[in-house]
Amino acid sequence: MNLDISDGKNLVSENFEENMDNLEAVVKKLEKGDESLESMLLLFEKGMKLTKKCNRLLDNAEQKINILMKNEESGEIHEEDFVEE
Amino acid sequence: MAFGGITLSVSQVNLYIKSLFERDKTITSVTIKGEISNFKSHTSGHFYMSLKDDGAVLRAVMFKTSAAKLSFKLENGMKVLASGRISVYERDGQYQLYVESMRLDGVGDLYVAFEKLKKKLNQEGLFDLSHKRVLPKYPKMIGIVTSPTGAAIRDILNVLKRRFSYSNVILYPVLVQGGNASSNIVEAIEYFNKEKTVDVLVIGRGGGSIEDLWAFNEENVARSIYKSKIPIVSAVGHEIDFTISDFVADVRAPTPSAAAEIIVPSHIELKKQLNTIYGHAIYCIKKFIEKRQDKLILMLKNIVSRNPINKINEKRIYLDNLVKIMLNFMTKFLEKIKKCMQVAQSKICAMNPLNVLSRGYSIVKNNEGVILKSIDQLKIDDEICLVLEGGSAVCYVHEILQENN
Repeated sequence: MNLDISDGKNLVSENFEENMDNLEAVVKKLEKGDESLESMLLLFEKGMKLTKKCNRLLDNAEQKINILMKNEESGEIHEEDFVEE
Repeated sequence: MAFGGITLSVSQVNLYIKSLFERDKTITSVTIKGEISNFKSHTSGHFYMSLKDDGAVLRAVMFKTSAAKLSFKLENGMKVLASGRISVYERDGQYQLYVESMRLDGVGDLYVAFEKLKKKLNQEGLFDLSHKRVLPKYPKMIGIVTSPTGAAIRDILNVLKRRFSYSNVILYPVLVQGGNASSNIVEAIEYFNKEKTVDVLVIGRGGGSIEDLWAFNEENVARSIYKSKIPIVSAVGHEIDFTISDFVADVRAPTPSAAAEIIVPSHIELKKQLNTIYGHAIYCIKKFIEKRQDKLILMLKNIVSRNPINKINEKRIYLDNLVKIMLNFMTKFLEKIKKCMQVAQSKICAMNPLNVLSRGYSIVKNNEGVILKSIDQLKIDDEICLVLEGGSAVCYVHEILQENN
């Protein structure tokens, strides 16, 4: 896993799992505490950002439910919004 | 031989016989027990077959509308109970059973089939734990294979919405019972594996009889679950219902609702977890800084204790002490000397020759002030000075009297 602490690139991920994994790895490193003070502060900052990001992803998530429909003639399958009966 | 009775056309006689059949209460609503043979599924959707037992054969037909309601796949050799009416097909002059519903004769046979397939697939390794895939922790896309109108999809969507709205859902609608159900389900699993749009798959349905759940005991479904690259959760019926799908799937959920709970974490739990992680991160960094602060303080103490000024001060104090001791010593010494001097002085005083003068002695000096100690130092007419107590007198030597001894 990419955990270059000076690199903020993987903070932009919209994938919850990736962010969560990163966060867990950051906290593990914080727990160990064998980095330099500067690295620790960067890690901490990164952890805070990831926490925020995860929270935001959870808050803003909006479930989409699609149903697959088969075109009887062509046999092609496409998605449509699912409306419960 | 005379032609007796009335004359009827073939059509007429067949129609007549048909009417006789249809007036009979026994055969217009009857259940017939037999084994399926000559089974044919016509493109029209109608099923044609024969029912037989050891001694006889009966033709049977099952029309599309009834056939679609079947919860299992018909095969030759199956022992069934077929309900319907017996009537005549006028064109062929054939009487046959018009099947409206059918169920397997003796559910015991289904259990036997179930156990047989279970044993076979188990031996082949389809249930091996080593083959089970791990479910994704936070699926972004969930594929569901079930009936779009059943209770299962409603339950699953309810739970998903409540727990973790981060996941999107794609429903592949399938028949969950009937002869086509199993191939339908296989199609769905294959579709998702081809499209690779979902992170996890749920296949299932609500509760029902063993016949209703039978599609999930079919070998083709089991094999496609095994082949699937996408992790699959099997959620068939109620907690007590076990199907072959449950054994092959990566995870068995006791119910469809439970499947939803298994595949996604709870939003609330996650928030709590995030909070805990947040707190823990703060605790870690605080501890880290505190540890270093303590170290710093310790080091500072160390440095202070090693400051050369301290050494100098120490030496200075030592020196001061020495001086004090020295002074002390000197004072005592001087006092002692003073005492000695006083003693000496008094002694000296006692020895002062001038003191002797008061006792009647006198001192004789020549004119140069030299004290004369012997008569030999004098000559007649020398000027001498006679020192007595209270003064001196200048005298001349008038005569020398030498002592001869």
